[in-house]
Amino acid sequence: MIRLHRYTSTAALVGCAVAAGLINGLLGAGGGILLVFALSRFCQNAFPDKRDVYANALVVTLALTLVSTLLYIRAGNAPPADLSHFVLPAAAGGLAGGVLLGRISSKTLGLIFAWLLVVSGVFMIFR
Amino acid sequence: MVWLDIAVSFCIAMLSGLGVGSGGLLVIYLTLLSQVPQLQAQGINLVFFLFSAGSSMLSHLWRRHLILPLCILMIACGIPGALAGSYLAGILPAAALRRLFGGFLVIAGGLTLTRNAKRRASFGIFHKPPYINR
Repeated sequence: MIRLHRYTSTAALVGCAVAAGLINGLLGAGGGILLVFALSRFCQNAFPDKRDVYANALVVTLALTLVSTLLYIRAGNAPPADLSHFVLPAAAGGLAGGVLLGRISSKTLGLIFAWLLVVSGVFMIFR
Repeated sequence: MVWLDIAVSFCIAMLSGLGVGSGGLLVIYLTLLSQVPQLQAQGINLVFFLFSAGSSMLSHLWRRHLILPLCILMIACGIPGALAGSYLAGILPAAALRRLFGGFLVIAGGLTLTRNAKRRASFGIFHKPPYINR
């Protein structure tokens, strides 16, 4: 029974990884959310600290994003001229967030972020 | 407006580094405010993610417990999905892609709100001080 559970968990993880890659490639975002869910749900004993789930999901998402990015660049859908003023602030902001993690409360930010996603999503569907 | 692009990129990357998530916020900004086509906005977001998540990863890397065999298995399984997704993105009409992206935002935002509500509910039950009913 334990072995069966282990196999179903592995199969579910593999399925979620395929789906995360598909979503990331198709929509240019969103694979990480699915990976965090999958790792929290199917590997909860392996990660006593929730932040380890995020770190592992981030490593996988970065690799999948790299593959999708190369394909987008090859197809001409990520023009280098448009990237110049996004790349440096992205690196600086990511570092700043990493340093500030745990020092400021992200609960309110998370709530605003979630509402922003819902409202923007509805707007994009019906635009 | 270059300065606005820079400010928005910095703020979204910082949110991502804080663990709040970026969830395609840059795609929303690029398509709704800067009028960039959907597919190009997604391409810019992918490159943006590589830099923002890559740099925040540097600060987490040696503080966190990574299970490398698990990561390698998931990367190996995810790559065919990423190839298929990128191919599909190239052949789907922009309007369909935009609606799919909108649907994803609604689901992702809804899940985040539900999870926050559940967390608040469990916090109320488990962290109630024992002296409160006396």
